[in-house]
Amino acid sequence: MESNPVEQELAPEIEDIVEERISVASQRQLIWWRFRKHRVAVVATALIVIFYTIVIFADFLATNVPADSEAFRGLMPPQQVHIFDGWKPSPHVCAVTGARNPITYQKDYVTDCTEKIQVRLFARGYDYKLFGVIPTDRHLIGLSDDTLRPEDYIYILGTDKQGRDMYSRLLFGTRISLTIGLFGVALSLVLGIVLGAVSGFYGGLIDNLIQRLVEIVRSIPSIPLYMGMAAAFPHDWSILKIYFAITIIISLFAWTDLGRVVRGRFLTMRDEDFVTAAMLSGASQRRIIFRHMLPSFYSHIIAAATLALPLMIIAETTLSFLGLGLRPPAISWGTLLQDAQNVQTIALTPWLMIPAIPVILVILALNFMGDGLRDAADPYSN
Amino acid sequence: MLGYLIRRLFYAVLAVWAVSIISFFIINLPPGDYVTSYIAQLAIQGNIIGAEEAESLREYYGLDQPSYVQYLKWMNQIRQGNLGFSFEFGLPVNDVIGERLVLTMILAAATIVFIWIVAIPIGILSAVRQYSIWDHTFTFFGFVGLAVPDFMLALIMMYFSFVLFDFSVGGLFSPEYVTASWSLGRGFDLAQHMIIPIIILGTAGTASLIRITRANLLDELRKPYVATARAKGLSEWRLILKYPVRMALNPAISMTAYILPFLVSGSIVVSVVLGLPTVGPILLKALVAQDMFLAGGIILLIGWMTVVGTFLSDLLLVWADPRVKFEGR
Amino acid sequence: MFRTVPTSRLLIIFSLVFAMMLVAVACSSDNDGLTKAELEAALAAQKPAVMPAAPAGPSAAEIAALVSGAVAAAVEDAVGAVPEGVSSADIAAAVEAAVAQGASEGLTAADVEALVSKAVEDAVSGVSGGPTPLSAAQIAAIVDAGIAAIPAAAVVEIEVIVEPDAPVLVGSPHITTDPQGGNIWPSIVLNNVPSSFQEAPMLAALVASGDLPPVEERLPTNPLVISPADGIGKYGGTWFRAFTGPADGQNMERPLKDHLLYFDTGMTDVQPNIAESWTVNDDATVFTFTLRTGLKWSDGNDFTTDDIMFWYNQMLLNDEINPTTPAWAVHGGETLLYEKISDVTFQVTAAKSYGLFIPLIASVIVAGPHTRGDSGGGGYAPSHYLEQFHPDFVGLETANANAVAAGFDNWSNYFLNRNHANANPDSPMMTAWRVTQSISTSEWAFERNPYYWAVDTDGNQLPYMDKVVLTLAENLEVLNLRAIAGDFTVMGRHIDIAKLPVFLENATAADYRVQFWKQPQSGIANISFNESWDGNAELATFLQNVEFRRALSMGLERDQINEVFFLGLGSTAGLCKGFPDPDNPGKYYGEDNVQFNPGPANTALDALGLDKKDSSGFRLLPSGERLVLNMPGVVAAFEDYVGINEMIGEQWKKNLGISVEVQGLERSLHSERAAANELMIQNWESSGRDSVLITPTHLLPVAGALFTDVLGARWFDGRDNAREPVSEFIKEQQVLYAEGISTSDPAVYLANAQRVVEINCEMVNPITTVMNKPTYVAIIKNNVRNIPNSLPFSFHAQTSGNGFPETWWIED
Repeated sequence: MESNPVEQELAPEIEDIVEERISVASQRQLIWWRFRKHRVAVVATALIVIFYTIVIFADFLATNVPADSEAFRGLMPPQQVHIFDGWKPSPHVCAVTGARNPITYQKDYVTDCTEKIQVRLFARGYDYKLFGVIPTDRHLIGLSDDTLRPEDYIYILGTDKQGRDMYSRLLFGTRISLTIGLFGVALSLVLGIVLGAVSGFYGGLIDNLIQRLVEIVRSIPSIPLYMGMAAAFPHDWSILKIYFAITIIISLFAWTDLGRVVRGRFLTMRDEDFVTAAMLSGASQRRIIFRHMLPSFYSHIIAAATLALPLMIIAETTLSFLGLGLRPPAISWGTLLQDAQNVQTIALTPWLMIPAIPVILVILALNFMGDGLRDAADPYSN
Repeated sequence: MLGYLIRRLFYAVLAVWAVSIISFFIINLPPGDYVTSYIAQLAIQGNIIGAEEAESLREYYGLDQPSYVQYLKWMNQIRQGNLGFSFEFGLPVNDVIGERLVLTMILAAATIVFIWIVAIPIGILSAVRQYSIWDHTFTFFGFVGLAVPDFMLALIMMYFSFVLFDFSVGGLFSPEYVTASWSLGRGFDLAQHMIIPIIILGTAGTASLIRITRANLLDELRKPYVATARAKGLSEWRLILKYPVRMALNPAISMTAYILPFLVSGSIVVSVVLGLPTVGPILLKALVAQDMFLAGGIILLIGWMTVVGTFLSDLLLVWADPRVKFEGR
Repeated sequence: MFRTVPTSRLLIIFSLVFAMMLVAVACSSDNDGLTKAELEAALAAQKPAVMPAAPAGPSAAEIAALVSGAVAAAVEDAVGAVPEGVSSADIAAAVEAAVAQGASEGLTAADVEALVSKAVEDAVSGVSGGPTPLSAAQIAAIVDAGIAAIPAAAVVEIEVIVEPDAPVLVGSPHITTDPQGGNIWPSIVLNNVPSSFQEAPMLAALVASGDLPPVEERLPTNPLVISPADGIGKYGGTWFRAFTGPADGQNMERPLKDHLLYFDTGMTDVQPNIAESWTVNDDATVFTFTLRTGLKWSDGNDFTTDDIMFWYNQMLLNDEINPTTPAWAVHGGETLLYEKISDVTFQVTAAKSYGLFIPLIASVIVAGPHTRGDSGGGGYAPSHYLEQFHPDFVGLETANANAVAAGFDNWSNYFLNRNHANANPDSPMMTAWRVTQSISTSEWAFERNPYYWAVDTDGNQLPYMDKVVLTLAENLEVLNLRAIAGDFTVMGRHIDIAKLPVFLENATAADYRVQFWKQPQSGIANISFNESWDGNAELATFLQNVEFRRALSMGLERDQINEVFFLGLGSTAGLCKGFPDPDNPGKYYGEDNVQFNPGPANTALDALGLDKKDSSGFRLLPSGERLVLNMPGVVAAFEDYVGINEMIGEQWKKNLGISVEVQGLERSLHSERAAANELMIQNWESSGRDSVLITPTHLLPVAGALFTDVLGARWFDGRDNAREPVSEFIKEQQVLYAEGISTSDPAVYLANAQRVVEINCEMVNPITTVMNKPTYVAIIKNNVRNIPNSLPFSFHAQTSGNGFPETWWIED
């Protein structure tokens, strides 16, 4: 499976590392070749990369300050960005005006395409700090400075009831929802690997105890558990604190799957020749676990982590939906969807449900990517 | 075999006990207690209760005692089959949960049956006709079902079933059957109302079971005994159904155990959105109102049922595949 | 030399001098100068009328030029001959005042600021060489010149103050409006008992079969006679509603009234109900009530003063049922004394004048056993039924044993459960409908009370509708969707105003109409500043400062909040609309405080020493620390307080440079923290002005209130952990309250109630945002008759009870 572990162990330290790097690299290459064949997984991966780019560049991509509201522009439908004006390339949006209809009480908006509001790339907008350090006011798209009038605006995905820009809010929601999942997975990875490895490596009483723990944790339905714990947060915690606390809670109960995978691997691997050899040559247990055994199925762990991420995202949205997770003014997919959870949205302003689309896309993509990774993880399987 | 059973039973009892402690721990986590939320409730209606009254209320409900005393008292009551008293309902918890628990279980069981009925044939079809248009279509829909948040799907389906089909909105019964005693008509009415919740709850489970069945069946189909059987001239479908499918069903059975807590969790969210009279909505309310024995009782019962469900599905698995019992060693 | 002074200090000087000048002008007996009133009249005459938008009008810059030009000319005129008395700074201040005056009628904040600074600069440059005194008359002339220079067409658009009592634009044919010529309300008819009585067919059948005595025997000799809003109705039908669970008892406690006395539809006059009459002695210490003769409980047993004395002796005075006596039953330090005089007459004696007692009896505070029975209140109780659960009658051991056998801890627990009519269908009731299915089930149901003691003017025993059936809705979206589908007969509670467009869209298909039930002078989102908050001593002095609060109030764009959260259906005029301000002719109390006016607001904040800002543009406290206002909002309340707070925070940040932190708090945690004096600002509703002494806790710090001065309220209530109010106005309110609840003179009572609210308006605590939105958006099936149009809403009178639902009926 690996390059000969006995040889590795006998070699001097430096050579050991070089040797191992080569072997790992080649395995990676094998995985990559195999993964590449899985077209859907490749597309999915690209999509995930795009989404994490949004996480990093949310500010740069946004067109408005996500908290800026204007009541009299509330519940405005999405404005279409036109690239061409006739045949001439001239990106613009059409002016939209409207008010509440005194008979139906709905917001009536009229698009007037005779009045064009020019849009350009790298436009000036609100001030922010790129990566949290570089102060700038350039945004990927925005209204063109030259022709800008104070009454002009651009709402690519429309506005919510407070007249806040759905597009910019969606970008910032993506930032929180995708990172919360990442932190959660990282934490459950650590728990899952450590507990799984210990359980599988040592077996016996420890294994038994940990497996009972896993069983108990799994036998408690997760939602009531999350609900109970989320209700337990001091509600005067800052958004950041709640954010981390939720992550921790979710991961405390999400590690079991991973733990089982790792344990199973360790159980079968414990008796493999290279482990026995390592033991005989006097390597410490820690070294054997983390140096020899774990690297041999890194790719499985990555696959498992990829498949765990959607669960995290769903957990966050569900908790926020129940009013127990993140709360406004925090913006996440969950809080955005919570705003859309009402009859009037479905009946009159369906664009408020747009945040469901990235949720579905990301979960699909992560599943396909995880599948692809899992299939590719074992380059020698066929 | 017997030894295995006894060990499993022992672990189950252990889990039951652990679940009781965890339940109690969970309901005690939030700051404040029922009296604080009760006072807040009154304040909304313009009644202000002072600290002195609050203390006497706490004494009245036994909330002034240390938590281990409260736990022991609770356990003692549970020993006698009494889950405690719901402050908000002013009724014993048993009376509050009663029918709701039955409905929750009926919903979960019906969803599992739905998942089996839908997922296993599709899984088999997808495996046998691998990479066909059917395989791709089902895989795609399975994934989408997995990805759409339950609560979103629930509200949208409810709204459109009302707008397009004039379905009665929410709940598990039509108005005339809400308080009627059980009868054929009521059962039929219930079945009708469960269609939407089952579809919503079942999508995720169906998707994963399709995939599991498909993968396992593909593995089995590659095995030599299939080739042998085929060489012997067995008809294709009989061949598939006779052995490989049976082998591939093991994961379906073991998955059932794991899907149970998942279904109960999911049913809570779906029930909240659809307004189903299951334990879900009252659990959410009880947690918010800190009606601790009601919340604790529900979490406890759900936990226990999951443990029992896991235990039963383990037994089922041992019965279906004798090789399994060695795995536990 | 003025140019070297920092702008912020300049502004402080201006405002101070402006104040001095006003005083000087006002005190001037010199005919040369104008009196304040004259000046205002002159200014008013000069002011152009507010007109609809005229896009062709001159820009703000042009106006500024015009004004400053005119002012400069006037100043030059004035400086030509320099009289003693006033400095050149006064000129600037006067200009500012003038422009502000004109601008508040129509110009934007930016315009005003531009006008002020430009005019001031010009004025100052015209007066070189230090302070140059001018006479008041000259200043007035300058001001006039400036004002006159503002062209009429310029004063337009944007900050047009919302006309407070403007009728809502009701264009939809589905929204029923007040009919021309005033409201049609049901009323009670005294001393005119119909000669014969009729009953519902379902009861007639029972009478025929001998299961029920005839209607004449079931009614009291002097039943309550109600004249319905539209006319005599027909019997039958079921009132379909929905409820959200056992905590939703108010859902039916509101429409059902078993109070001894009750309010009229207008919610101000106390009227007979179960008691047919009452008298009060001169100093309001002795109250005598006479019950109707021949009243019966819903199970047919007699209702007499024994039921009142049972409640008093066995419940109110029992330490286990009432561990602490309810606040209303204690006055002057002593528990009220109840005495039976005859089977129909009883007397209540208070230790000290207690004029408020009668309104309290009629209000939700005392109410009846249906509302208050489960907590041991209600003023009377079914003694014939409850005796079997009370140790005074069966002995402690038996009472406890019965309780344990029924699954309860002790007898009092069980007793209260038995007296909880909503949960216990066995409990006899006095309401129009009696409970047949408990509130703890998924269908809460009521059936007509065959012994209900009210008839219509034709002698038909009420109610008209046979049953009330409420289905459990676990979730408000489901409830509202059912309302949209037309599942409810009459439903106002839990109906979401944000769904109004959807309701209107479906009104024809689902055959219902929509009514707005509004609460007069009620606040929806009042921002209360806790005067005793002590989290930060420096910040606390600002919270206690009326100028600080006024500035914050003027930094709010209320129409935005109204539009987003209340579909523009509320008003933004403040609590005191309708209370003319004698110090401010033509205006009502606090009118200026509730208008968006960021220029003066920022000036005032600067003047308070909050003129320094940090790099993010937020104001700093004098100590250099950033001024941060903490505004927690209650989550899952009737209104979206977190959302409103978020919006307020953004407005203060944008308009005033004040940093606001918003977070959502669970309702229980919120009230716990409020009680612990940990909240500096709260956002909550307030009930109507006329009932402020009945339900005072939102507006004045008494009776355990947790809003404007938490520790001050404890001080007034005589509790520990208290502190005397720092602000005089709080003490004044408390004195007015104490006097108001004692007096036997209704005029004094109303005057005090009004004065209390005036003080809230003057002192801008709370800051009001939106008022008078429809508290209930009521969905009413088109065939339901006799519903008052429109029904005023109140908490203290328990709307919809004040609409007399027993007279509502369903036309086939």
